[in-house]
Amino acid sequence: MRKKSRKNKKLDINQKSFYFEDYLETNQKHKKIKNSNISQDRIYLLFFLFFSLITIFSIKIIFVSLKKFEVYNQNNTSSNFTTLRRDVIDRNGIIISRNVKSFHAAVKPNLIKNKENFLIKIRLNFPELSIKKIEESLNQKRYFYLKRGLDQKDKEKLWALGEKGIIFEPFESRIYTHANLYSHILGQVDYDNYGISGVEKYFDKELKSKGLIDKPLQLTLDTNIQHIIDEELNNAIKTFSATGGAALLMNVNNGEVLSLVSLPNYNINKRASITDENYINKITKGIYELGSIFKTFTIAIALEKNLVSPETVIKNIPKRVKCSVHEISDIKKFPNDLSVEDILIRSSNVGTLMLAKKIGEKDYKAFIKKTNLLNTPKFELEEVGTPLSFAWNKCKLETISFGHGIAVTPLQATATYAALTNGGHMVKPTIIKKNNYPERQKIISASTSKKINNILRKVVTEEEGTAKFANIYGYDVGGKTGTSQKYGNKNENLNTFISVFPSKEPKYTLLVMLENPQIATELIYNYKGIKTKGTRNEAGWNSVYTAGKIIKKIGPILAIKNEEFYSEHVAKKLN
Amino acid sequence: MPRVKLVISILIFSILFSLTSALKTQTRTIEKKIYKIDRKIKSIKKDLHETQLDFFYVSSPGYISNKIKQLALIDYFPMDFSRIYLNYQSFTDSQNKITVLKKDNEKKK
Repeated sequence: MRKKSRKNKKLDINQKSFYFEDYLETNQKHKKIKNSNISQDRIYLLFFLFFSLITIFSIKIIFVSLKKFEVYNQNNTSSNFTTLRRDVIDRNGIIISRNVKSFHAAVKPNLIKNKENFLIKIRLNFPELSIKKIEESLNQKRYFYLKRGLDQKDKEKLWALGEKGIIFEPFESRIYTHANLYSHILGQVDYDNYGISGVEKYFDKELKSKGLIDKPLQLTLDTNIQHIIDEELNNAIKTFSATGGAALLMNVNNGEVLSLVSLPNYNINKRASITDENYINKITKGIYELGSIFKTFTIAIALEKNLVSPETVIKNIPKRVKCSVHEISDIKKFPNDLSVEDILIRSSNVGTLMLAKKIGEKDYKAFIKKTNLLNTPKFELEEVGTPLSFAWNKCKLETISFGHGIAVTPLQATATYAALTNGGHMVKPTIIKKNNYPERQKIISASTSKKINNILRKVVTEEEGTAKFANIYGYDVGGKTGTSQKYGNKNENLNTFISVFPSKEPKYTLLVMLENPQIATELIYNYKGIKTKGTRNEAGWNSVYTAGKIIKKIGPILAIKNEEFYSEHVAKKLN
Repeated sequence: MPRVKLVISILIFSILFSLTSALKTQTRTIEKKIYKIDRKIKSIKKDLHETQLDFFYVSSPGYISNKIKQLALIDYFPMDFSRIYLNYQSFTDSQNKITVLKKDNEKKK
């Protein structure tokens, strides 16, 4: 192009007419340039067009590869799978509650041609259903539910009927994998997935939170331990012909509840209305006079106030004390002079009463206030009882000192034992797994706590102690028994044992409670190799025995360093 | 010269055209594949969801201890050890031995 223009420039010098040149040469040149420009523009346009298309598709490919797959299935709801409620898992990640898709069988009466035939088929396949009600509903010609929450067998049976009028209505069913095991904790949901009791009700909002739907709610409970305790407690109820029982295992340092059993229980996968009071959650809702369990509190206050030491001898303890209309005495005959620790080891009512008098009403009241024993406990369940309020009249201090005239929940009593044995810090019982547990109020000093642990250990190890059957080899068990009459029914006993283990540095506290147990005449007890038959009915002969069996089984799971076992077997072998 | 330009233009046009169509088809294929895989994942997820539940039900300590109690009631018969074959080969080997022995016996007779 440039060469051409140069040639043209040379011609310019010799040209004769300006107009001639312009007409012939320049116009053609311009035309050529113009044409070439147009074709160039077209190429650019085409390039631009294809470049845009390629860019669009490339962007689409990137977009497709990066985009979340849900976008492609917006129309296809049948394969979408999201639940309405979060899973509930135990401390080891075992699923204890989950939503699955299920069906209700409904009937559209208009679509049923032969009603008589339909009723016969239903009667043959589902004899448990009321034919009268179905007939009435059919006659009313209204859409009604034939059977709610179908299982696979029922669904197949209904399919086989081949009735157009039967509609399988999908819904989400809540399944509890362990049926009875967590009935008092988990509670239930209704058909619309609203929590109606237990954890399901207390955490209803959290369990339905869409943002957290993929994250399960983790409890502090341990399924294996829960099963062992449930099994042992069931055995104890049979052995001692008790009407009910309860057990609670708690971490003394952070209040985590590892097991909460209340018997009788029920299968939460089946719907039934229960009105029997015996089915309440005895640990959180039940209010009981726990008896001698309270003696530990009295002694702890006396030690904390430096009124006595564990070795201090209380002289001239009377056999009976009259207080207003009450006559307070001991079940057994004890020596006139007893040391403070002996009072707890032998469980002397009168001895404890004398200590309470030394403490005085003001300090005792202050202790009860600190421990929140008379307030409704804060716990993550709907079913929580409120301790009975009372007036501090003439004999209240005396009776409360050994656990009479004061009714609290077993949960509160266990939490107070945790505080007395963990170095003196109050704990807030919880069933929800957390990363951090807040610092709690200190109710007694670490030295008092240590003294209490030593005395509780002696209750189990000493010959005169009331909890000898809980002396499980290697687990350093300490604890206190409580035998009382059931509140509101003086003919029934309530035998309780709160144990703490290992006593040197407590990690766990276990409460075992049996309602109205009887003497197990068939049972042969084995104490230090001596076999004896059951002759008595105090807590030491049933609740303690049960707690011992439980600790023996759960100890290895809790992985408590079994020092005695190590020194006895491993050390000997090494030597 | 104009012809060369035209040829180049057509060539570029056809290359880009085929490239675009190829890209478009590939995009669609990938999209379809993703859709299919996504459906599979969802159905597997659903199965897994229910299978997990079954697993935790079947492996729950209550269920296992009930099974142990049930199985403890069954009377088991001792089995003739010589009739247990670990695999097909051991079965055929033993059968061969028996036939050889039978033939030998017949010959002896």
